[in-house]
Amino acid sequence: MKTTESALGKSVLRREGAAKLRGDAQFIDDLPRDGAWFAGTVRAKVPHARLLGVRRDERFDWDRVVLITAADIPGENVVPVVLRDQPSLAEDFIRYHGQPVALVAAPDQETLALALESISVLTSPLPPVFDIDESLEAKTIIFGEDNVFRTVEINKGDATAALQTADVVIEGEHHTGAQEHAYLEPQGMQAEWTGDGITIRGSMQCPYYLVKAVAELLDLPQEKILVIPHLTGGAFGGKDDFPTMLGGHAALLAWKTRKTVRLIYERGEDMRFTSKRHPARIRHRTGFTHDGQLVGMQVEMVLNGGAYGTMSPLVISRAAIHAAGPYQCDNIHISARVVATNHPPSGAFRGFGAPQALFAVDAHLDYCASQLGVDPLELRRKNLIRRNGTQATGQNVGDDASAGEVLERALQESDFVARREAYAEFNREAESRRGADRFPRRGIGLSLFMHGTGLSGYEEVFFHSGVALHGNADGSITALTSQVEVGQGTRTIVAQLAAEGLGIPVEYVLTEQPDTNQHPDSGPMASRTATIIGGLLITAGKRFRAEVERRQGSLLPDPLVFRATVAKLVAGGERLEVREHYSPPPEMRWDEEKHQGDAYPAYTWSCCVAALEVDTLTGEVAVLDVTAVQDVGKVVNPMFAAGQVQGGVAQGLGWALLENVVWKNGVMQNANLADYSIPTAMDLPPIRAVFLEHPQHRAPHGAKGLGELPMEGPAPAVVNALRSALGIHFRRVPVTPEIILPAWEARNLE
Amino acid sequence: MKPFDYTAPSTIADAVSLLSQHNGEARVLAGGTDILVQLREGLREAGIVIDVKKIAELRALDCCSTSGLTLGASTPCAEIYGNADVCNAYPALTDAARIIGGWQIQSRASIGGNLCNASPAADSIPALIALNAVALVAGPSGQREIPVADFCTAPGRNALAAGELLVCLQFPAPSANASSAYQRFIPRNEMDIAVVGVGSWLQLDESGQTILSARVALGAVAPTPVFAAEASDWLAGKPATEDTYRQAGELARKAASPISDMRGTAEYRVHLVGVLTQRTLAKAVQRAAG
Repeated sequence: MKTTESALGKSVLRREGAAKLRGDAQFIDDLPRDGAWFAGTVRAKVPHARLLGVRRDERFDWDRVVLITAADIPGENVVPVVLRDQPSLAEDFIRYHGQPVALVAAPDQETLALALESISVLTSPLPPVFDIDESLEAKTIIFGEDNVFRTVEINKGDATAALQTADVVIEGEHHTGAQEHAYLEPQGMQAEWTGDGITIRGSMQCPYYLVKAVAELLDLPQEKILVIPHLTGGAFGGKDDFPTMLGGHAALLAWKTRKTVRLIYERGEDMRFTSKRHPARIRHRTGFTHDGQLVGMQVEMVLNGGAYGTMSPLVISRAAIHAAGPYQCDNIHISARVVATNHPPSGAFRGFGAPQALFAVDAHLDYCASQLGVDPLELRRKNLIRRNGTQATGQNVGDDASAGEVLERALQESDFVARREAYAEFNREAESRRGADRFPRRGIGLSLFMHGTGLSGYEEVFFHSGVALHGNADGSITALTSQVEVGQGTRTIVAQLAAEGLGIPVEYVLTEQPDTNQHPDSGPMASRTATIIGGLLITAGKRFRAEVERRQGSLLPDPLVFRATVAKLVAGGERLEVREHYSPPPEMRWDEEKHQGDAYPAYTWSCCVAALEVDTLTGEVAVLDVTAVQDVGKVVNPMFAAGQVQGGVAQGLGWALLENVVWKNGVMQNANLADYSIPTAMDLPPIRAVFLEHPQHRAPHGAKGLGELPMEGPAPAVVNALRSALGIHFRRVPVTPEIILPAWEARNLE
Repeated sequence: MKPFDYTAPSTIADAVSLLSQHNGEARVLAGGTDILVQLREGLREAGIVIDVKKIAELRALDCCSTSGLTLGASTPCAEIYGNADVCNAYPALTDAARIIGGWQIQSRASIGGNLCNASPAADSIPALIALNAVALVAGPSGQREIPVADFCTAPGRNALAAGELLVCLQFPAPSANASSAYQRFIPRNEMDIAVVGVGSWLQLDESGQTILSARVALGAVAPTPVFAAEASDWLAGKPATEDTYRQAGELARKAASPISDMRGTAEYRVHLVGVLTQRTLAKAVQRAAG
């Protein structure tokens, strides 16, 4: 008799991989177009205005198309995310250039184009507000009474008193820019009128948001709305909240036309008018003893939320919780605000506020070391969170404290100390070299950071994550979750985790792209598939096996026998189904009002090392190599895990060095992939991913989250490496050649 | 995109007659990597698209040590840098051909198309000017020659008259002790539009110590690619040293009149002209000597 070898920790191949490699994978725009109408969006062309109406050119025959404005919406005109401040179609005010005002559907693309050209939006302009300071001045109000979507304050000890008595207080202000998600295919939805309801297919992460949103918009019961996430080629958070608006638009048109309607953005439209990463301004005041012991931290952070709240109230929470970084300090005050401006709404993006906070704190700490005359490695060793340490919310991290270990391992894996010395020597000798060899400077830097697994605080409680397993007639078992495959390998991971709980080979577990009729709500976001959903799958798998063995009256360790038994029971008319819902660990405590307590069930810890060479004649940076060491608990699939690190580092390097959203009057000017540079394969250095696997005790299989973490390391590591190369502290990402060059020339004039 | 007719003549005469017949509404298709995107985005319009890839003269790639290089207007970049003789004799040309778009683009895109599209930032044009290439043009009243330095007249506009077709580019035979280089600055390492591009050609004396003559040309710093005459003339008779290259860079900066846009400020572009002039001259000397 054979038993099943565990598939956890094995590089099982992607279930959808072959179709993608062959080019057979069908994305939303590949759906058959038979009979479908084409839809487009009429947009405001000013950033801030009173909306007076739309004017239709009467030379166009409007009977050929269907036009919808806010007045036609049968239910509530709202995009329900967190605050309910955003209308589906503008009604009284225009809050950003490109805001949807009306929708048009036409039988063909030519008619659609003519109709869109024949309609204009009438507005009376208001003064726009674009930057954080203008928004905080609140001379022009866009949201509420003071333009602030949400303020989060975190207090630990007495930071004010600690800074008054500190030996040294060091201040710093850092800025981070917007970032485009640059997913594979632009946003797109196809909605079909089914006689008494709507079926929506589209590129998305979170199908359940859309069910609730469309039900409200159309004033239909939720059971009349079926949402089927289509194969999605990358999301990065960009297909978290935005599809709630887009799916609502497609649904409105399907309802009005009684037809199938395709609403698919072009790349330029997508880049100009959908969400970006929140730009941020972060100020630190940090107190130390003379020998570099942290005694007090004040962090004042403001994120630019754009025109509407979307996910901002949750983004600012995660940003605040991560603002002190992986450092132990008894006196911390964090004030974090997210404010409204007349930019397109900022939204969810891999990291969800943490990258901005972590960039600032780790770049600042490295700068503090240079001011204190302390080795930045020693400064970190002295202050990092250790076993039973407490982070800003007062959470005792217990045994989940790998900051020191990832740091030491990264130093060892990257040969950090020896290379730092060699590069310093290289730079000292530079001036005496001849010709072109005089210009390069080299540096190496690191960042130390952590990322909370799962949703922040009590969000995970309100989010009724569930999974189900059911037995099929052939003895296979289908795992149902709403973990949408967006390119991260979820279908495969879900099968591996369910198989682990069931104790059967991974091939016996079937997974499908979910739909909202059959699949329990679980939502892929916040780096939680492997850990939160994985925990539920393993528990459900064990219960399923126990149920089958109970009905059979014997243990069934042989997987073939188990499979045959499932087949026999199902053939005999028995229903084999197990459901499992998330409940947070009972010992976890969280005070949302004060942001105190156990913010996350676990943390992943990481140290990222970047080595680089700067061309001091042009300011150009070539990253030589990156080493990323992380403790993510048990690695479910080593190949996927390494892939997440490679991709995350690439996205982080892009944010650090290349990706510069150029705004003018609230409109992205470089809204195409030629002018907005994301890294290509030729821009990426060798990236080493090293995993420490300290299991976390709050998931049955010990996995923690990984999806967002690797994106967070490169920006602070790059800025710290630039200081090591040039002796200049850069306070802004992206740090482009045109920022580096003048700073270098100014330094040499001193 | 508006509908258009398509035709693929097999002789120059047929192509010229089609161009004359559809004066103003005909567009020439070589590799198609610019025109198809422009038609789709409505930046240019066409009643008829004339595919010239079937015309033998426009697919030429004849490299001869005595008569020089004849490069058909629709010969794709990959074919050009795949030819070892061209790489040896005209390295500035193959430097440029290797970095226009990605591999897929290079298997379609042609140097003739890059020239006719007349982008100020076109990668091949500074190399063509530095190499002293001449455009051979066929039209209703016969053939004529236009030096590449005079071919572009404004952004997106060229010197072709109604009914005229670019047939090929002719390069002088390679000189002894001469070589060339093209470099551009872009924020990333591939598939990007030049912030600045510089092409340099030079000939050394037999000792390899002195520059006999030189040609430097600049891209993305004026409405059209420009020949840096002052820097080029000054280089004749100067020693082949870093200091010479640096001074030539200073002079080349005077030929630049860039604008500031989201790819770079005018000030940064002028700075880069100096750096890239210096670097392409050094590279050309290294190649000429080696």
